[in-house]
Amino acid sequence: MPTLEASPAEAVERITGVLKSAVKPLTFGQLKKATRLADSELKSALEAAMTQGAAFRWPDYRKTQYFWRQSADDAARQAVLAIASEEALSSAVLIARACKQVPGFSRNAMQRTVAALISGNELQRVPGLRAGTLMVRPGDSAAYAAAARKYLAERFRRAGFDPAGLTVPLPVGDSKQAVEVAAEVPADAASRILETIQSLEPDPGVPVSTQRLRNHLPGLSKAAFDSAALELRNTEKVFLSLHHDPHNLPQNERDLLIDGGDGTFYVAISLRR
Amino acid sequence: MAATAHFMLQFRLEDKKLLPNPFGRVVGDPLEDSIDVQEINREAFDACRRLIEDVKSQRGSGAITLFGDAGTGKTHLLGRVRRWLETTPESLFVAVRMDTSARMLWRHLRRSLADALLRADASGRRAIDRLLRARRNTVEHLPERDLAIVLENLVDGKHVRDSAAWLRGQELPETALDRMELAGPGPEENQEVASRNAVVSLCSLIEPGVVVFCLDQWEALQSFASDTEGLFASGQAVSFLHDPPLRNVCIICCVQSGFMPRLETVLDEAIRHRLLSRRQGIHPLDWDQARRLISARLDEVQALSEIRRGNGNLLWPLAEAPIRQVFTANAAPARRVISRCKDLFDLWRCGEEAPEKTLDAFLESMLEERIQRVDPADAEAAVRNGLPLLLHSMAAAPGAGGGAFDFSLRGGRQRIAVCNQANARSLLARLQKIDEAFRPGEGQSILLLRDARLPIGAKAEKTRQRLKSIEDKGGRLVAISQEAVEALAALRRLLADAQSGDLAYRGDPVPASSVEQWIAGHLPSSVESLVSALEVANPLSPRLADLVSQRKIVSVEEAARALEARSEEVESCARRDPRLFGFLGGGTPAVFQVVERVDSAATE
Repeated sequence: MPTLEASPAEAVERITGVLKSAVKPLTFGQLKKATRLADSELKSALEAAMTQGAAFRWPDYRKTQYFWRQSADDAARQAVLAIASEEALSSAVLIARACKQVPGFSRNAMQRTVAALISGNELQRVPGLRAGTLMVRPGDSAAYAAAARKYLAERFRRAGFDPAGLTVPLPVGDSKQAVEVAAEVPADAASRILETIQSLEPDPGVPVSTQRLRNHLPGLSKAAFDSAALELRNTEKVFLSLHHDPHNLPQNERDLLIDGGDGTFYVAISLRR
Repeated sequence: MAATAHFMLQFRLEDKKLLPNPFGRVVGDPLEDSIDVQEINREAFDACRRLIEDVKSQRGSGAITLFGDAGTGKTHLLGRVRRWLETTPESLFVAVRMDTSARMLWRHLRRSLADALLRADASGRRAIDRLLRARRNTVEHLPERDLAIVLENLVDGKHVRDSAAWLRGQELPETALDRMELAGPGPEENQEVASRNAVVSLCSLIEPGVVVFCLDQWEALQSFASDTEGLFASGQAVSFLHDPPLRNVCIICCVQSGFMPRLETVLDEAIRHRLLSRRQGIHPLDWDQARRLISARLDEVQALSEIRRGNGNLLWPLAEAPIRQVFTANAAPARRVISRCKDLFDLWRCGEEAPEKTLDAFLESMLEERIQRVDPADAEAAVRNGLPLLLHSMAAAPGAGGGAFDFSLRGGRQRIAVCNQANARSLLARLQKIDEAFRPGEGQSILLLRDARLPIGAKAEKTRQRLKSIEDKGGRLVAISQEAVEALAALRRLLADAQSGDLAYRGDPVPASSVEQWIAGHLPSSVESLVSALEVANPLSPRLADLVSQRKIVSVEEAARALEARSEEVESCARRDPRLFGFLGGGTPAVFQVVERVDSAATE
C-alpha cells in the first residue's frame, strides 16, 4: 500500500483520528494500514501522540504491541465498573471477566485495579448469598438484587416450586411485607426524595431516573417511595416522566418505576421550579 | 359574555368551516415550526445559545443534551435555535433525525450536513453560498481533491445535480464521475470513513463559523428493543465531532427522559462525559404557559386574530374547562394541549368533532403519510435500516453479518448482503468481496438484495461472471421493487417516530411495541415478496394456530409443553401475529384464537 507523506502534526492528527474511531486497541500494523504512514513516521508520531496523552500503549499481547485512545488502566477500570453494575460477582470471577475485556492486562494488574476501586469507594464488598463476598457498586442494589433473585429462583426450582411464586404478593396481615405496604409513609420521605434528587442532579430541572433514585434511598420501601413521589407531583414540587410502554417490561423492571395507581407508571423525576 | 356573543355572530357557520385549524400540526418540525412562545423553555434555549456562543468564543467544540418527555417540545426548541442561528452570521444549522443504524451513521450525518448546506433560506440563498463563497481560496487548496471540485462546482453553479448528489454521499455512474474528473468510490467498508472525512473537512472549512448538529430522536437508533450498536456508534461519533481537530462543532442532542437509563447503561464513561456534561430539562406546560401558546396559535389565523384583538379572553373561541381536563397537577405536555385544542377547534368550527379513528386506522394512515419517493441512490440506507425491523417483526432475529455481509439469519446459515451500488466498478468490487468471503457449508445460503431500478448492464461482463460464481455456490439475487423500498423506509420512519414518542394518537404517544406488533400483522403487500424471499415465516406459527383452533384458549406454558418450544417463543409468536392470535398477559399468560368479529347488523 502506498504511504502518504505527512507533516509531524498531520501524522499525529491522523493517528489520533484513527485511534479515536477504533472500537478496540490496534496493532502497529493496523495503525500503519489505516494511517498510511511510513514505519519511521508512524513511530515518531506515535511517540509524540503518547507524550500528548492522545494515544496509549497497551501491554503487549501475544508478543504484539497494541495502541488505543484510552489507557489500559482506564479501560480496566471501566470494564470492572461496567460488569459490577450488571452483575454481583465474587472478586475472582469479576477479575477473570474483566481480564477478558482488556487483552494483555494481567490478572495481578486487574487485582490492583479492583483494590484501587474499593479504596476509592467505587466498588464495595457485600456478603455473598451462600458464602464469601460479592462485589457491587456502592449504593446500587440492582445487581445484588438480580443475583439474589437468581439464587432464590434456583432454590425454588430445586424444591420443586415454580419460581413465579416468588412474585406473588403475600396475603395482607400475613407477613412483614404486608405490614410494610400498610405502613404510613415516613414523614420525611418527600424531603429525602427532594434532597436526593438535588444531590444526584446538580443541573436544576434535569430528570433523575427512578432506578437511580431508589438506589440512593434504600431505607424507603417501594410503597412509601411511590406514594411520596406522587404527593410531590400533586403539590407541584416535581415533574414525573411517564413510561409509555410499562406493560412490556419484566416485573422486576416495572417495580423500579413509580406506580401511578391508575395504570400509569413513571420512569424519572425532575425538580419543578 | 355579550361581547363574545357579538363576535360569534360575525362568523356564520359556512365561514367558520373555511378557517384553517391552527392546531393542525401536532408534532414539531425544526425546519417548519414558526409559531413560538419564547417564554416557554427559555432556560433550555438559553443553555443552547450559551453553548454555541462558548464554542465560537473559546474555539472548542461542545455538546448539550436536552431531556424531556414525549411531546414537551424538544424538537420545537430546535426550531427556535434554527431561527436564532439565521440571525447569527457564519453559522450552519444541521437537523439530524437519528433514524439510522451503526453501519450507516456517518453517511447519514454527511447527508444531513450536505442537505443543510444546499438548503435555501427565505431569500433563496443557499447556506453553501453564504459560507463558502468567501472561502474560495481555502476550498481550492483543500487536500481532498474531489471535495474541492464538487464544492467549486456547487458555488459556480456547474454540474449542480451530480455535485449535490456526490456531496450527499450518493454514488454516481462512471460517466458522471468522468465528466467532473472525480475518482471512483472506494470499497464498501471505506464508505463510512470517507463520509466521516467529508464531514470533518466540511466543518473545518466553515471555521470560525459554528456548525450546530441537532441530533434528534436518539431513541430511534434502536432498530429493535435490545439493539445497542447504533447508540454506541453514535456516542463515538459525538466524541469524534466533539474533540480536536474539530473546534467549531456544537452538538445538541434530544433524548426522552425515559430513555436516560438506557443511555447510562450503554455509553461508556468517556462518551457520557462529553454528551452529558451540559444538560437541560424540557418540561410540560403549566396552565399559564399553555394559555399563551394557545393564544399564539389562534392569532396565526388572521380572520380570528382581528376579532380576538378586542376580546379580553385569550382563549376565545375555545373554552378553558375542556382544555384544563388534560392537565395533572397543573402540568401537561404541549402536544397533549395542542391535540386537545385541535379537537375543540374542530368542534367550534364544524359543530362536531372530527370522526375518531381506531388505532389500526390511525396507524394505517400514518404509514401512508410516511410513504415517500426513495431514489435508487438512497435505497441502500432504506434497506439497511428497514430490514432489521422487518425481520424482527417476523420473529426472525437477525445477527451481525460479519465481513462482507450485512445481516445473518438462522444462526449464520443464511447471510444477507445489500448490493445497491450505482457505480459499476463499485458493484463489481462488492460482489468480488462477497464471492471471496462466501464459503458455503451444508445448508448455507446467501441473499443479495438490490433495488430493481438498478439493473446490471448488458455490457457488465465481469459483474455478471462474479454474480454467476456466487449463484453457483447457492447465492441468489433478489430485486426489491421501488414500492418495497419505499414501504421499508416508511415502516422504519413509523417505528422511529413511535420510539421517540412522536407518534401521537389522541395526544398521547403510541408505544413502540404496539407499532411493532401492528407492523407484524399489517405488512404492506409490496414487501411480501421480499418476506417470502427471506423465508422468515415463523415455523411455530402454523402449529400454534392448530393448537388454538382446537383449544380456543391455552396458557403459554401449556402451549410451550405441547409444541416442545420455550414459553418465550410461544409468547413472541402469539404477539407477532395478531391476525391469528390474541394474547392475554398477567400472572398466567395465555393465547387465544382470534375469531373474526361478526357484525351484529349482518346477523339480524
